[in-house]
Amino acid sequence: MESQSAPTRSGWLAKLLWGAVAIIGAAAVGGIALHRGETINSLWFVVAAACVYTIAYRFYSVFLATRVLLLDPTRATPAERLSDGRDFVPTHRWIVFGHHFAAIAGPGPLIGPTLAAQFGYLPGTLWILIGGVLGGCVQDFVILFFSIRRNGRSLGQMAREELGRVGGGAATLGVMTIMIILIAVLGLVVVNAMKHSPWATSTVAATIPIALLVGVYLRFVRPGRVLEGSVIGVALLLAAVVGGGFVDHHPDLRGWFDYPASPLALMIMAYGFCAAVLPVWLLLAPRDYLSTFMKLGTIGALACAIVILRPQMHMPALTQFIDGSGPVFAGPLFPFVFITIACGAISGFHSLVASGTTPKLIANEGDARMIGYGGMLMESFVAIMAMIAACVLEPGVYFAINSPPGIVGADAATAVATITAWGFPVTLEQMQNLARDMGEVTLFARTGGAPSLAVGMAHIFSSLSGGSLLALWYHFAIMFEALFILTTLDAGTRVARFMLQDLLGSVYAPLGRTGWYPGVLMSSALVVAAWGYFLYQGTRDPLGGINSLWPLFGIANQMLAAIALCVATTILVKQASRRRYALVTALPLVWLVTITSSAAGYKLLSANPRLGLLAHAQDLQAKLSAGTGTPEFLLQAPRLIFNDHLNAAMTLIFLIIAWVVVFATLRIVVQVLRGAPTSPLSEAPYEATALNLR
Amino acid sequence: MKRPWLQTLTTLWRQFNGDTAYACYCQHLAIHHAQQTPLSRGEFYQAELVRRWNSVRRCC
Repeated sequence: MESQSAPTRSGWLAKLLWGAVAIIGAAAVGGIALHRGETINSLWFVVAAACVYTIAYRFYSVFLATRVLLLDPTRATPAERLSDGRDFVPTHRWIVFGHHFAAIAGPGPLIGPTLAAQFGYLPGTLWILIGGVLGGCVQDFVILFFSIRRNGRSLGQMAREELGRVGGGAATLGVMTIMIILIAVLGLVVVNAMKHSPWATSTVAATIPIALLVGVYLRFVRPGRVLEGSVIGVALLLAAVVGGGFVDHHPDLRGWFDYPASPLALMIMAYGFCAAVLPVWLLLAPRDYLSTFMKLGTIGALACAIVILRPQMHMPALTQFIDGSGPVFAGPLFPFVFITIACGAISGFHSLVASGTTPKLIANEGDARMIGYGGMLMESFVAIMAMIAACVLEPGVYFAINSPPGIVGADAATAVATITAWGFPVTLEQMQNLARDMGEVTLFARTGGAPSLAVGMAHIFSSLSGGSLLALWYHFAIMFEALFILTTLDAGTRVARFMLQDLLGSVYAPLGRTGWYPGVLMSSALVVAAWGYFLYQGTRDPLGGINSLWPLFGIANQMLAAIALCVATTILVKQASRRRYALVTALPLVWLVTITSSAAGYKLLSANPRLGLLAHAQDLQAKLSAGTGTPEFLLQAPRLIFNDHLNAAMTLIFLIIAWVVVFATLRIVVQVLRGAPTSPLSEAPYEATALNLR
Repeated sequence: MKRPWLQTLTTLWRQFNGDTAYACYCQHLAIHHAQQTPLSRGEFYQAELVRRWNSVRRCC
């Protein structure tokens, strides 16, 4: 490293430069932490993030690469050794970076920080920065590296080989259950953005025929010309946003797209089923091309807009809701800020991509640092931008959009009075004007994060167009979010279908055949029914669904990250020369196990009915037995009680899976420390590279 | 006029969106499996999509 080189002139200059970056970064983080004024400029956040990321990349990732993992640029990667022109292809590092980032950047880092803003901007921002550089980036980097050393093996395979059959089985089960919860919660986010919004619904609906059209173009008109197809598709998508405005203003047409949440949930389920069953070329792949271009373009544009405009943020550093009484979701700061931020700081799902497509494309081991560690830094920056966009709103407006009617009251006047009484002034007129500006009938109780993020983005983008076109920007942002949420939903349903078929195939062989239509239809229907149940119940939950589903998703996602870190720690511990560095993965692992276990503990054991699932069920049961409440409530109560028990069971399953894997890891660590033999490392032998792509 | 940087950028961009995948496959076949007949562009696109979408491709 440079700090050890002779003190030449350039060495001193470098030290001076990095010293300056460190001081500016520390000042920006300190400024964010200590600032207590009415508003704070978003530039502080951008500068703090930029300095923290560059220092982490320059020093910590180099430490990981040169001391812990010992990246070897002379060693041939699977892309070179197993090159087949299709799956394994040595690819330029910037291309792999682009693919990797497009794969890991989903709706999570946009929604998590938006929800976590109920604690104020400070806790979420600090965790995105710290959790990102010490947790998420490390996880992505080490899993990518270990997969490269194992011929591009998946996380499940690595878990089986390194942890044994029990650990491997638990990991596979974990992946499947997280998929179900993930799809349900993302579906709910889209439904909440579309309910009673003809503009949003018609625009999102238009993305389906547009994807089909692009699919046909790429299959029959100009086979495989992805760029052409995508350009046509993106142009049509933009036209669909404008067209949605036309539909919204048309007295007859708007009725066709005006639905409450529950029917929309059923439509999403029907759509998910079709997407899983139809050929990939027709719907799934073209939608993905469109969403990738849209995603990268919009994220880039948002970054530019924030840097140019430097908007003021109105949310305080901390709110009173750190005590756990927040309206957006229940639960105290510890551990729920970590569970809620989830993907913006560390996401277990990334370990599936880092041990999937990416390791098969990397041409040189040395590229793994930039792609694994650097890719996650970018994702973490997306989370910072989402935090900025959420905090640009007046806090009163933020809470009016994100609070479910079960907490602030079903009618607008009560909601406004409740939120104002919390110390976040907001008026009915202000909300009506905002809804009118955004081209919506109402923005109250649009829980899920997507609408408030879209309002924030619309504010930022419309400043570029002189404060006009708010409604267009709002619906553009909704379309952008819905587009890649639906891509995740399609792709997730399909992958979960394959996993289920794999499982069912061991019971009755034909069910495992991906070409046997009855098997395909049945397994797809089962997967859709599983996530559809959670989604549908979420739309009928008086507390808004997100309230219970997002923490469940957060726990599942962090659990998957814990599994990935267990695999990484085991591999490090098995190698005598690296053992002392195992703390780089073991410390984030201990932290993740602590937060997932305590969050699960709260969800299962808390006596507060808003937080504890079982306490909520008991509370409902008591009311039901006493016969208190409206006839509607008495009708709903048994279903709500069942859902509470189901959610509690899911939480318990996640907890058990995580601990099974942790014990499998501990067993191997103890064996190693005692000097007992363990299962050998499954690393592929060294072969020198003949490539020179760098 | 020749502009190498522009050419590099165009190549990277075409690689990123997958427009060069078929050429890359044909080249691989020509070098390593000269006796095999390559798939047509349409068949290749179709086969690639199915292979790619059978694993986790998108995160949350």
